[in-house]
Amino acid sequence: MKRRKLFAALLTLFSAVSLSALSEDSVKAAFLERFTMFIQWPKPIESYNVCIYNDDFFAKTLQKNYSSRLFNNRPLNVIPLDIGDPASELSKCHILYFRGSKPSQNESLLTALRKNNVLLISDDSADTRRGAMIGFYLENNMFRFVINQRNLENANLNASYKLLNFATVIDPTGGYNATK
Amino acid sequence: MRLNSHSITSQMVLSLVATSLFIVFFATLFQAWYSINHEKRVFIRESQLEADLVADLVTAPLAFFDMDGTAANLHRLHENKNILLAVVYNRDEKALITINPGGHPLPADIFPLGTRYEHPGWNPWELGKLISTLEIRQDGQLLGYLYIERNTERITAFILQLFWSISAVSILLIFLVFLASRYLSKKILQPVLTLTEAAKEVAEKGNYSLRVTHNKNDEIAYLYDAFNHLLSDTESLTANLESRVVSRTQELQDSLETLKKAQVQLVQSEKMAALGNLVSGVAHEVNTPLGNAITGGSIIVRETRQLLLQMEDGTLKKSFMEQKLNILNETAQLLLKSINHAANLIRSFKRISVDQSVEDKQEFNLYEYLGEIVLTFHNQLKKIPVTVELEGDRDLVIKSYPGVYAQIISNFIQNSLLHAFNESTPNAAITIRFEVHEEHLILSYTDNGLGMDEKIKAVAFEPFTTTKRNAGGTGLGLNIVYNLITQKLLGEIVFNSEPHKGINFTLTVPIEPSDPLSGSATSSSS
Repeated sequence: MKRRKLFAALLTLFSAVSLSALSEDSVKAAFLERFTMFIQWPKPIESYNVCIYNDDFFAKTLQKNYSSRLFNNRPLNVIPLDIGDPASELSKCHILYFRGSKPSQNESLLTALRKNNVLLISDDSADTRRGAMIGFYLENNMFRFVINQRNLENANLNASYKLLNFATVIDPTGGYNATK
Repeated sequence: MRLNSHSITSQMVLSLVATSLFIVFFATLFQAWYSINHEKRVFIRESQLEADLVADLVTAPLAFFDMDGTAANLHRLHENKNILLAVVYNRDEKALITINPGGHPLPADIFPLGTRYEHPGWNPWELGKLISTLEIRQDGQLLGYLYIERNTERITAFILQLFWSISAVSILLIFLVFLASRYLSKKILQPVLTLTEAAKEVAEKGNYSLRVTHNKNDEIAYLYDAFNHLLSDTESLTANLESRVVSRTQELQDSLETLKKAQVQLVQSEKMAALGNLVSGVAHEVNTPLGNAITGGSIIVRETRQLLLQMEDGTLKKSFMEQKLNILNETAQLLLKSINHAANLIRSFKRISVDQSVEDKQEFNLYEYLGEIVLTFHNQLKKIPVTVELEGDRDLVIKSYPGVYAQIISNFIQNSLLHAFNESTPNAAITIRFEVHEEHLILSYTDNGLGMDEKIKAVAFEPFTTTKRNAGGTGLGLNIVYNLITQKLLGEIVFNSEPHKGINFTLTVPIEPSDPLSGSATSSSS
């Protein structure tokens, strides 16, 4: 039933998109846009640089979904990254989304990313314990996500209380009543 | 203190209560209006806040397509009893989640945005529904709409409660005002009422010794002082008034007595003066002929003595005798004439008294009688000469005093002969005309002689008025005529005259005059 609800909602949201696109990737692509609505970067953003780590297919899907429309009212640059790209490449991203494979998360890389206010999103919610800010998980056939509020604050990113109120929050900083 | 008996008190109480009612009415009206509007605004603000909160809560679930989460957050409104309908729409206005406890139909149109009352009718206390429509936005992106309908029972209950509390307070207030104004009226007006009572007593009983007292030093005290002052003034005035009236009345009575006495004295002295005038007039008139008579008498004595002396001496001659007899004869004639004149004067004086005539009324033909009178003056009339014309009804017989008529006409003719005409008067004429008009005899006597001037006209009927005293006029003729006409015939006489234009006397006499003087005439004739 819930699945069908979600389906119907997505149908209305992406009425221009074909049915075959309403896959997990499409949902997550939509989620990426929604995150940008609730999270505030310290500097004003003219266009979003969304880096997809080692998943060219998703990168293409994302690019395709937002080819004819804006990504949260701004142009979208999808930047596919491969294993071994230098950390400097990673620093350009506003969002770094990694799925099955992850960059080696040494502390120096994480420090660099934090310094550049990069929002790290992982398909594995356990990554939020290891430096990622948001991690997806599946509950009752629905995609949910965990937010590490401390990691967000460390990267100087500000999440809306509405988002924190909705998501599962770990390491709450007390800035918001994050428990649900 | 009963309200009815003191209209000023009840007026004051009524005024105060009415004023308070007026103020309370408008104050409560304003207060109610203000409170109701305030309550409405508060309700709108609270509803808006609640709607904003719910909109915030459903933003993230809606953004991440979690209908369960959206529904759970929307259902928080369910706790609120006044919710009629709450709906979350997507950005295309398609209803996603609905709370509809009353089974109300979904609205056809959810706009405009904001919170507003939707009135079903015009009753001010029925506010209908409160509708809120909000956009659900995040970072400028429209995600959907939140639509909430609430009932306004809360406002209606508030208005009812307000009405009852205002009514209760107003009634209590008016009652308190009534009590307070009664108390204050009594307190403020008591001195005035006391004064009124005092004034009433003074007016009804005339008790001017009454005094009013007031303890405070205010305007009322001033009024009381003035009232007391007025009373004391009135008291002293009233006390003096009686004695003053008595003394003034006495003075007036004394004056009146004096005046009466003076009047009597005046009348008496006037009578004496009139009598004196008459006597002096009589003496003056009679003196001349008597003087002449004395002169004549002394001449006769002297002449007679001379004749006697010559007779005794025997020297009397015929010629001397003749001369002396002629003198005696002339003197005797003069003496006779003077005595006759005096006798005539005495007779005239006697005639001045109207009741001298003792004759009775008798019937006679007026025309013939007047003709006879004229005839007695035949010789004198022929001398000038004067033509006499007599006009009137030849057959008219009246019952009156013929002697009176004879006296009147004789006087007129004598006056004409003596004063109006002389021997050089051309066309001298006398006209006697009479007619009967409305039971009155109107007789006019006209001559065309010298007439009278204004000075003589003014005193024509007064005694001893004459212009020819030396020529034998007594000045009594017209006075006798006037008295005869007014007292004997009970008529009137008027005359017109101008110098050199003759004179006209007009007599108006009742035809059968009564005889008021017959009794006294009889007694005086004896």
